[in-house]
Amino acid sequence: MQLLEFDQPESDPAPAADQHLTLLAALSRLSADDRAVLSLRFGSDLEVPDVAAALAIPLGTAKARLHRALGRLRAQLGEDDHD
Amino acid sequence: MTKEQPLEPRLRSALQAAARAHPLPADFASSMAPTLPDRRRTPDAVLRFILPSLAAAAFVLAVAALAVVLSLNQGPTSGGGPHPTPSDSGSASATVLGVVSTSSGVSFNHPADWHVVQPLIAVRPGPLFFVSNASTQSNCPSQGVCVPVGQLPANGVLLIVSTSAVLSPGHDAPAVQIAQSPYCAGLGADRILAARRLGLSITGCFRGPDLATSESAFRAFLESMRRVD
Repeated sequence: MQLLEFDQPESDPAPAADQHLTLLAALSRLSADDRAVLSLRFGSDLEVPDVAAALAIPLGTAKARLHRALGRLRAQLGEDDHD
Repeated sequence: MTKEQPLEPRLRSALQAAARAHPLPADFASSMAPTLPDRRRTPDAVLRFILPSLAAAAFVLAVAALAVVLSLNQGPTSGGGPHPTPSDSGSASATVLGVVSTSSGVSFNHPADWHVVQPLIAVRPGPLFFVSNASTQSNCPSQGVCVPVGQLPANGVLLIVSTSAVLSPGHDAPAVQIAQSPYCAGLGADRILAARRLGLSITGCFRGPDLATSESAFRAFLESMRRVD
């Protein structure tokens, strides 16, 4: 089995890798819809209109899904919603 | 535009670090060419999305390994670990599409012996979800396109519903036979069909001998696809 090896900054590498794992573990607990919009938006760095185009959904739907997905990810992480 | 929140740069960093940890094979970009001709495809559009496509495809590889790590960290799964479950014999006899499933905002009918598999993270271009009558595995190879089926059994079916490689509204296109697909490579497929529906690309990998029944179910699956937003 091949384990992930994250790129680590020169200072304080372990907390960064731990944070990555924590985030990705939280992401894995979201629905497929939530994971799709978040990974396209932030992983592939697509702008929101491009996320909408990639998923063939209206722009408003993409914005709403993204907002909800971020909220649910924050909830998974036990963080406050800053909106 | 979504306002940048503290969570967002952290998420971006985590996702992109995972992608960088698994660089793509040198020929991967060409193997991810869209399976269907797109009348709106232009050189500018292709150039515009080469880099995002590479990054997106990298996720397929990175997330594959990540899924294994997370499944081990989070306790037992239905598969009991990263190893494939014993292969079921795929059946193309169940052509009555009696089951309705929903995935990624799309509902569809499928035979009872087909099941839906969702990747951990969606990418563009890349799979939103898979539908198959073959046994699926929770791990993926460290190289190549990650699909949840290692080998199609007799009458096996694997459908890949993916985000399009080209960002355009697209047109529905009926299923046509194509020569090859990176998704179907190595599965032992005897026939590959590709279609476009609801702006999504659908590729079907089929193994004989009863290809007619499987294709019939595939076409019925396509017809049943609906947006559920």
